Amino acid sequence: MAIRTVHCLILALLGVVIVHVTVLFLLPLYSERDAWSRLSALGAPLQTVAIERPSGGVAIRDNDPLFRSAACRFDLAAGPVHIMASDGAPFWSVSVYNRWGQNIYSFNDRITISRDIDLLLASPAQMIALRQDLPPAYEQSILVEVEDPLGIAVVRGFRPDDSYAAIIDRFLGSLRCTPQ
Amino acid sequence: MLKTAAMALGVLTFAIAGGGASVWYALGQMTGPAALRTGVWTAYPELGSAEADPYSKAAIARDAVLPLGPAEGLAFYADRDSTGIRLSGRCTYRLEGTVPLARLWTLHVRSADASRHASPGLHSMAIIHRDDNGVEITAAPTPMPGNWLRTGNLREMTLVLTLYDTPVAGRASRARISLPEVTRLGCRGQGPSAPPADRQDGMM
Repeated sequence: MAIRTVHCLILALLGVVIVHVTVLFLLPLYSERDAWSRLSALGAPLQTVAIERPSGGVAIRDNDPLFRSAACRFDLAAGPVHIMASDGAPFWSVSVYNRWGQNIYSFNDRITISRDIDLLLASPAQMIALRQDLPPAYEQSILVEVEDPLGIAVVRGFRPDDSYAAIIDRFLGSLRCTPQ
Repeated sequence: MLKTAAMALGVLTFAIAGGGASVWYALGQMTGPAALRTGVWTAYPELGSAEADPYSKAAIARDAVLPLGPAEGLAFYADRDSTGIRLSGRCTYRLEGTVPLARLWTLHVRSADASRHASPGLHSMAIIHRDDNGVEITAAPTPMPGNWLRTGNLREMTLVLTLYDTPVAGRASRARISLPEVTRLGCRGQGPSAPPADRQDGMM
């Protein structure tokens, strides 16, 4: 009887370990609370959405309250996606995330001469085609190769105080994600 | 027969409940092996990268976090003072020291569960710097002279110091970074300061 109890105990602990590892690895795949899912609820793909909601809530956790940000979800299956915004914030930065919220590529306003955001996202296959024959419109663009077709582009702008509200609104409002 | 079935059911229930609960607990801890610790401050430079450990990956999926990229910046979190006591928005703290090289940094107070901000916070372009380029900030629920960071009476608070466009966010130059010390000066309802040593400091 005692041996049987010990067997059960070992089995239970082994079960805990198996469930722990399984849940850990499946959680990102099935999470309905991740950034992608929350942004899906706010807008269609390629539609620019503000991450700080007018109601005061924030779609993404852990945002800096001195920053305002906007995002668009993209899908490269239909072709490259062009991301543009005109300069405005005293400091801005851009990040490209994959569907799982992992940061693939990031840059800030020091990288560009014009200080405008001009980014072309393409899959590895699309990138080969682009490199062979780059349309003149994209000569100034930053080309970013993205492995996963699904992803999120986020633009963050520094808003030192309320006097910058209009400037930052215009900056984030100028963000466009367009399929090519 | 019935006993065997009951035992099997028990083992299964325990495994599922224990496994689920342990993942939940582990994700709440947020201290992976890749955490970068300096004094009371902790940063997670690998968070959100493809090399992140499975716990970080699960945590960002659960909490809808989009971590800053290396070219954007790096956030440092402190939830305890230099003596190891949990930070409270009802207490007064002095932050003193230097901040690593960055084009811009911001400092804000949020509730422990990240659901609430006490105020927009301070940033490097709008505070008084010391002559040696260090900073002295007083975090308190009521206005203070000098650089005042509002703590908003949060029961438990976390200080978030975010460096933007900083070499610290890259892999190099992480070895010798120094961040401000967080010293408790006193708490509300306990007089101007709790320990006698701090009272002397406060008077001077």
